[in-house]
Amino acid sequence: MPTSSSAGPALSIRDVGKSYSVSSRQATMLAESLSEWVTRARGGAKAERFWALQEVSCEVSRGEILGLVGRNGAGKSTLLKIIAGVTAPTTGSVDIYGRIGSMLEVGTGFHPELTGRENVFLNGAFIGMRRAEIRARFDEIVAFSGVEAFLDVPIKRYSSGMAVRLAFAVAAHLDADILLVDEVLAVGDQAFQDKCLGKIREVRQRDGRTVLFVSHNLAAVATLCTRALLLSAGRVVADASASEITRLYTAGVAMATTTDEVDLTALPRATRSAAQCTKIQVSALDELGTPVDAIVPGATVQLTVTVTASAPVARAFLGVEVMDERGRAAIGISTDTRDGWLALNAGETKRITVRLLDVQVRPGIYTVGLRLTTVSEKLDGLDAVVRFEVMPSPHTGYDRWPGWLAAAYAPRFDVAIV
Amino acid sequence: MTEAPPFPPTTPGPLPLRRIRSDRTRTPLDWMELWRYRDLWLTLALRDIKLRYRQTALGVAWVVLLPLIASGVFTLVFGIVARLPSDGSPYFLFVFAGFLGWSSFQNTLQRCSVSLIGNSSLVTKVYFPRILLPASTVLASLLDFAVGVVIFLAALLVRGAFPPLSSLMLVPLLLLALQALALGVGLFMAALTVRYRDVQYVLPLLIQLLLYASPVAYGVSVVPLHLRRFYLLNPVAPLLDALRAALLGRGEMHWQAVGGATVASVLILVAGTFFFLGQDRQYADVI
Repeated sequence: MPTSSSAGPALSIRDVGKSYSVSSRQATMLAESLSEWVTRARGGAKAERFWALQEVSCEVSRGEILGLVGRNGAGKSTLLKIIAGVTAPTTGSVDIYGRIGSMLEVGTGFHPELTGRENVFLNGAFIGMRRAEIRARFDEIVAFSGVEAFLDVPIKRYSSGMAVRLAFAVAAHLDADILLVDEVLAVGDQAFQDKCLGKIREVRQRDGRTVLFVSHNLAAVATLCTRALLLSAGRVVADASASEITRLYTAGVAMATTTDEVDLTALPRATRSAAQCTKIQVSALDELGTPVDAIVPGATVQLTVTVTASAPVARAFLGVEVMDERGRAAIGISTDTRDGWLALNAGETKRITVRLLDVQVRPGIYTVGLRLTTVSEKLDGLDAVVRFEVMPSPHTGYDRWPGWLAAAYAPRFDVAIV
Repeated sequence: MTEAPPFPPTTPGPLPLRRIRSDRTRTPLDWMELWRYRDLWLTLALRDIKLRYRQTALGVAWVVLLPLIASGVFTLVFGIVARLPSDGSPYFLFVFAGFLGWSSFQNTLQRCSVSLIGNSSLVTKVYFPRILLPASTVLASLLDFAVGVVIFLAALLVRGAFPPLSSLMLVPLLLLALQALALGVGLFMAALTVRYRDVQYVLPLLIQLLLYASPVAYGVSVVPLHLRRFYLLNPVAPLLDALRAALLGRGEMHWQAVGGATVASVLILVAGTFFFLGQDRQYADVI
């Protein structure tokens, strides 16, 4: 573990746990609250608890950039929220040395009716900046965000990218000893993402600030963080160098080879619902529809997802999101757009087959995420259930994908030069 | 592009320690922290003030129009139709004076009660002392009151019946007691609304009842003598009555009741603060 020159403790997390009552709804009516109290007084069944975090302990020194890695629902965001002071741990304690600045969700505290300028002050105040401090840094913040021209326009007229840039700019200029960053980089274009990563690195190098960083962007975690924690089902399963953690994490996602079926029942889920994705199979087909071993750019990728219902489901549909190695969405589809609705009786199992035609993505490793929802309710959501590799193929020209090109997807295209 | 100027270095040497404990503990009242966050209090209050009349055609004029209209209606019903006494002042000004105090009380109470659930995205995502949300509602009420008082005093000046300065000096003190009471009750309501949304439906009804149980549309003098001591047990009543007397510069002061109501207000504020902080650790999870 690398230690910085100014090393002293920044954070000391001891045996932190967080549990929620499993009943999806809190007792919001007096009557419910009373009946709950009566059952408890009678010694009746205690409300079942779901542990989002358990026995998390970790010492972080000043100047470290600690990455938190794990699937959705592994407890990364809960841990950040506890450190930020937003929610209290059920067990354990956290010692924090210095001022904390948090960016749990970009644009928190932004009010759509207020202008960009007003929101800079509002947002700054929320993350603990004094008005004078914000005023002193104002020009710098605005220059970093690149939205000078829209400062006196209400935020509701901003594009989401602009709002994110402004929000990150405020947080990046916060004079905090410990900066908490959660998924900020999921939005914004590549250039801005790089700028943000650079800023985080700069913050640490110049002043020995501590950064806690949650991201699905494994490449960013590997290059930026000095150390990382791998969380799974609310527990720390590994505490090691960032590159080691990203290796462990990707190794934990099953690599699909054609014909293999991957079991999804053991994956941690935050809530119980009427239906779940239980299996997935990835295969590639050639032009004639016969299975082939290697997926090459332009191939047809066939995903077969098995869904099992524990209660009747009337109209559900499946969303598939394929992410590239940097955690960026490369492909996204939803079956409802092709009238792919799913109806299940209790106990019934059905298979949905989605054929992605002509997958023109660059060679590399892709992970598949699934979302099973009805119009009104989320049934199942799983990140990185399976990986597949797209091989370079000399016939397609995609073995020579230029390094500077950030995009993972390219449509079929032609060029004319006169 | 030029490099951004470097950050000022972090505090050298040992950094201040803060310990986050489990949710079974209550949040202490941390004055130092509240002081550090004073700018947020102001920013929140300014946000509410700025937002209130944005995208309204009449804008800030509503601050004046609402109490004027309400006073007009009450004058019509209680002054002209029911012919209640107004202790020697024109009925409209008599009601208006009562209404200024009442709306400052009502506004703070109402805004407090929804201050947490109305900002749920903040409560679940950023840390700051939660008590600032209800506490920041007071400033808007004070501002409304100030605007109303200026109009009111201008009207008195035109009539040539300007109240003596000694009487006006009482106004801020009485207003402060009234706001302490509103904030105290509001803190209870804010905390309760997070768990029980029922409060949202009950509170308007209670406020309506309280309006008729307080000397706004009528004077204390119409309350029968043998009932008056019970009537003045409602801490809002003596405070509003005294505030009106101070604004008009005439009328009887029920000093004993005012003193009692002030003490009650402070106690309710303290109790409300403790109740609010007792639930503080759970807002983000329950909201």
